[in-house]
Amino acid sequence: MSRDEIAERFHALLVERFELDPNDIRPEARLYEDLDLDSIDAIDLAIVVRELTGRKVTPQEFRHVRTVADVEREIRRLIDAG
Amino acid sequence: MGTGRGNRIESLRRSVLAGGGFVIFGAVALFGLCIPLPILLLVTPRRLRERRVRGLASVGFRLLVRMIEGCGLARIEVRSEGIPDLAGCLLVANHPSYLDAVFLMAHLPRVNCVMKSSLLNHPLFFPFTRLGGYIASDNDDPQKLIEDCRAASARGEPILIFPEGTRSTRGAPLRFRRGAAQVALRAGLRVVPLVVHCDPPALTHGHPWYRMPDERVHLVIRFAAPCEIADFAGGSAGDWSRLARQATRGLENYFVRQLASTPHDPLSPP
Repeated sequence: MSRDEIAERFHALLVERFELDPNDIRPEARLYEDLDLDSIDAIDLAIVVRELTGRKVTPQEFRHVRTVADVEREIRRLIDAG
Repeated sequence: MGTGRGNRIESLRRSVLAGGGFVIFGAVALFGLCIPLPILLLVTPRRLRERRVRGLASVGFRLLVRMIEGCGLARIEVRSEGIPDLAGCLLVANHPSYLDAVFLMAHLPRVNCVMKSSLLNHPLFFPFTRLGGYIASDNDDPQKLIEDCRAASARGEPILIFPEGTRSTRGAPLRFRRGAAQVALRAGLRVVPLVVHCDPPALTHGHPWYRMPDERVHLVIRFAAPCEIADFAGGSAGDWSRLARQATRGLENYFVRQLASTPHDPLSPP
């Protein structure tokens, strides 16, 4: 998938799963402070990433992930590695 | 109501009683730590330990409730069409005052409780909160919270949770965090709403122990019948993350509606 396709699919899943406003999903948007995700949402975020990459990730691996751009970078890394 | 000066004196008198109540509670807790608890631990097999520790804590809380009612600080009442079978259910309550938690712990001795780590690590209470096997709401691992609740429910324990995460702020809109809905969904727990009325406000944010009202506090706790968390999301199905958000809003709306009705009416279903 191209970078843009990944971003688009990822954003669509965020809107659907977490009831987010598409306008709020900017690359620098912070998951916890700006998008109101919490630690339980991190479990579902890991599932979203698994759906996009086919690779299983644990919520713990997302500890250092802070922004939308961080997640997109992780997704690309997992796709490239797989 | 008396004159302005009478009200202030009455308020002061009640504040002194409330302050004294805290001191006595601390003393009782300290005594409980020194004598009954160690004896209990010595004679109790491990598998009964949590249950007995909770029972002991419950005795302490019952003493406290008796003191509070006996000296006229508060009158606490439970209203429901009979208390439903609470085994394994998630008891979801609003939290206007310290008094509601005290009363519930006094009269539901088997109940588990989701509480902040500050209570599990509290310098005075930690032996009770840790040995009582209560559940931490805010550790780093949310899976553990869900698993702990699932396990407690499987053992038949009701689990008390306050979705506000703290005591209410009088005058501010009710704000529920999503943890209660998430736990109910992911651990498959039925929900029992407990609506707590506290009038006039006391021992809540903005009304500390030294600003007691000048009349007796009337606390009314209403139990609803057990229901499904999805009932608060309009019965819809779907992704848990989305459902938890809908159900949390649904719970907030439900509590706001019920709190607006008088405490004497039975609770309506969601």
